[in-house]
Amino acid sequence: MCDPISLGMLATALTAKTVNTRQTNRRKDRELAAGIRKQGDIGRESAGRVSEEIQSLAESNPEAEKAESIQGFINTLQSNKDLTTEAAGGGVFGASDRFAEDVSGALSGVGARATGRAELLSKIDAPARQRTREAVGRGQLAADVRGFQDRSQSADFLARLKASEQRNNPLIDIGADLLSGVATAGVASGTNLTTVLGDKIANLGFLGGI
Amino acid sequence: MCGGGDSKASDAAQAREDERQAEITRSTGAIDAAFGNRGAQQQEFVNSLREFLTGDVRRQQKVAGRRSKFGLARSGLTGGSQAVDQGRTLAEEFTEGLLKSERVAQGGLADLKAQDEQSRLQLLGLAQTGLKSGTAAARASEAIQSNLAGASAAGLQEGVGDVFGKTANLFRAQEEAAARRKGLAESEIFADPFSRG
Repeated sequence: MCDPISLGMLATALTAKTVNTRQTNRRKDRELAAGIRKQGDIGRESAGRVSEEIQSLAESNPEAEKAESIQGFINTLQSNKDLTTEAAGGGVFGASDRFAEDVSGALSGVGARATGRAELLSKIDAPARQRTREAVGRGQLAADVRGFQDRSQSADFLARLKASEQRNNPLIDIGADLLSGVATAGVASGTNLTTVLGDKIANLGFLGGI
Repeated sequence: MCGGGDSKASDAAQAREDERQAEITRSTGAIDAAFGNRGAQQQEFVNSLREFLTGDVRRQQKVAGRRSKFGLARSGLTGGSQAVDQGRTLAEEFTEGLLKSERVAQGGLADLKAQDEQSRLQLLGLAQTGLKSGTAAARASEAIQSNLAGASAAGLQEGVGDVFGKTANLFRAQEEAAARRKGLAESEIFADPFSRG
């Protein structure tokens, strides 16, 4: 019952469908790979942003906050200098030179102490302010990472959508189905297509038959 | 995908995952190093806080010592047993003040270290999460918001307060007694001419 034509048609149909499906799968694969590469690019951008923040943190120190803080303290002390002098007993009309010298000595002691305390306070306050600044930076980083994530999810969605849109070539599938149908119908009805086709060709008088 | 193990998508996914893992390892190391180098900053903070607080205690001690000396002299108690008791209380309060200032300084340092540790963990979370999970990034962001409110030098706000509370009451009593004695003595001087009359 060997019918080479039926077998050939079935084999051709199967091969055509397999190749068609394989090419579709390759296109899907390419779309998904492109999507993953795109996500990789976004991931690298995100990693770069994280690295930038880490670098900024590694270089972070409280010096700027310290300088700002001490300037504020010094300004306050200077703007209240008159009251400080008054509090120390200065500006008494008609007081002796000795009293004025003592007041001046006391004032210089008060000034040195106030400056020392201001420096200490700025060193104490600066780390907390530095950490507040860093926390703001991390908050911005978290927002940026969310942005990168949104972009990545969009890239993933688009890649999946594009992959799902890849279809087999319908003409090839229809042709293969037709071939397969004819061959199967022939085999099912017990018709030997090789013989039938040989007879038909012989009847036509071409080539003198097969 | 293609059944032959030559999938571009899985190769790309594998490459991306390898890259991501390498990035996480590198970022984790960099974050740990950045926070590991904060020892000097933390030490400067605690030294300054300690100096500020002990300076306050020393200043209070000077004032209290002076008041004690004059109070005892006014009462004629210098060199007596009460002077010894008062001196002992003053010394005890001074040492307690020093201990309290050290405690506050250590507490301030612990708060600062805790803030740094929390920050380190948040940053690690952000670096490790990356593009993996949005909810984790959102949680880290919320934690940062709550941290902003808590970032302050708690130790300094607490301070050491009034160290010489007990002896201050004693000095006040001595000063008031001296004032009363002075008042009585003066009233006697002024009262005498009239009483004789």
